Amino acid sequence: MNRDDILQLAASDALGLLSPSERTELELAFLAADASTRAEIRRVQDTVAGMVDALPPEEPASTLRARVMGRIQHLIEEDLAESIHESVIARVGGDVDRRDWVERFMAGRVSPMWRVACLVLATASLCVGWYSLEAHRTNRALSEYMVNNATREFLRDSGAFAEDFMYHPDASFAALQATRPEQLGRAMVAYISSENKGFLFADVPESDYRYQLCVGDDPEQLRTIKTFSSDGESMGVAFDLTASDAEGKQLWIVGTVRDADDYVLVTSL
Amino acid sequence: MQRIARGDPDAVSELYDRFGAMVYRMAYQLMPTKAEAEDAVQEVFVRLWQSAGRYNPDRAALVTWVMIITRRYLVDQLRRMKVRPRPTTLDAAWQASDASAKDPDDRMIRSERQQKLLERISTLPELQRQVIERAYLGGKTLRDISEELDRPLGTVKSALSRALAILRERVPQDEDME
Repeated sequence: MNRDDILQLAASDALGLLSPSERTELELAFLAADASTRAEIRRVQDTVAGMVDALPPEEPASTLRARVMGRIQHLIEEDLAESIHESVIARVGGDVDRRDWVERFMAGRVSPMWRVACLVLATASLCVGWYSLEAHRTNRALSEYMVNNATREFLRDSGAFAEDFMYHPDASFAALQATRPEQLGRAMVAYISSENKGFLFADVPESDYRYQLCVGDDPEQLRTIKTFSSDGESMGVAFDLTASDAEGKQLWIVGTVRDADDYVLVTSL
Repeated sequence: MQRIARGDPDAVSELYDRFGAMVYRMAYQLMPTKAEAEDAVQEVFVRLWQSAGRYNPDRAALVTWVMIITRRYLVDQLRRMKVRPRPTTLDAAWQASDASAKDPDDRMIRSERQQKLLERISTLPELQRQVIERAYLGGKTLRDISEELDRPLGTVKSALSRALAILRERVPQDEDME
């Protein structure tokens, strides 16, 4: 399409003579045109628009303004009511027919404001949903990776006995977490449910009292499965625990440090 | 237009105040009756309200955009109704208007700028004037005009382009266009 063709199309457009496909053709040509052709297109269309001055003046009826505004106001309220209606349906459900609004939306008879709002909301919801899912997956993978890696590191350092646990195909690993942030120390546990045995690797503060390794859900009703002392150095403790006793329970290290502080580490098996 | 796109009724009201008379003037010339012209104005403003979000000031001046939307609607209605607009030439339109004039003084004030444009249109070569009038007042496609005048389509297209080029050179752009 050469420049004359484009300008001729622009004139026909301003005269209201183009079909939808021809209008699309013109808009594409406008987008592809250089600045001077664009300016010429505008001038051609301005000239046609200015021809309204060649028409005899005719004043509209004084009631026309109110009619036009009434119709627009009615459409605005209708749009608002429809959107509220949709919002209510979305909240409470129900068998209300939504086809009319969807058809209006698809046919472009819903106000641009609502169309844009719906599209933005839908897109934002999808993005947030996708982002949350990805973030959850990443956090979970990272958490598992850190716990397993830290546990393996501990066990590797604790000698051949612990390595049996580390490389056992049924072994599961868990890191015990302090119940209070000021508690020092750390502990990892490897547990082989098929053999009812576990191995605790702990690095807990020196204490004059013995620590207790307990299992249970309620902190007030824990069952002690092993006691051990700590001189402040890293140490390993093997223990026995049946799979049925361990199932769904938490594993605790409970102790007293410096005669006063309750010392508690806990993890789920 | 952004306010209209956001659903601000006051903005629509301002748009009507600025362009309502112009839209009506166009509708009155192309629609067969006053009642249909008023209906057309109402529908044109609904379309303007609905498509406000698509208005691009870089693409066209606001008045041009309003007139394009108006003409699209009117030409579409003409084709649907399969009726002929009242006058088919500008002279006939003015004669009909003068005949029903109620306030000649007011007409005289308005007609100065219009008269210049009319004179310029009337001095166009015959073919160019015919093409302009049939397309503008009759809402006829260039193909229809080509058949009516028994002239090749290319000749009609050229006539329209030349006529607009001449009018553009002779008619300074109205301030409202900017």
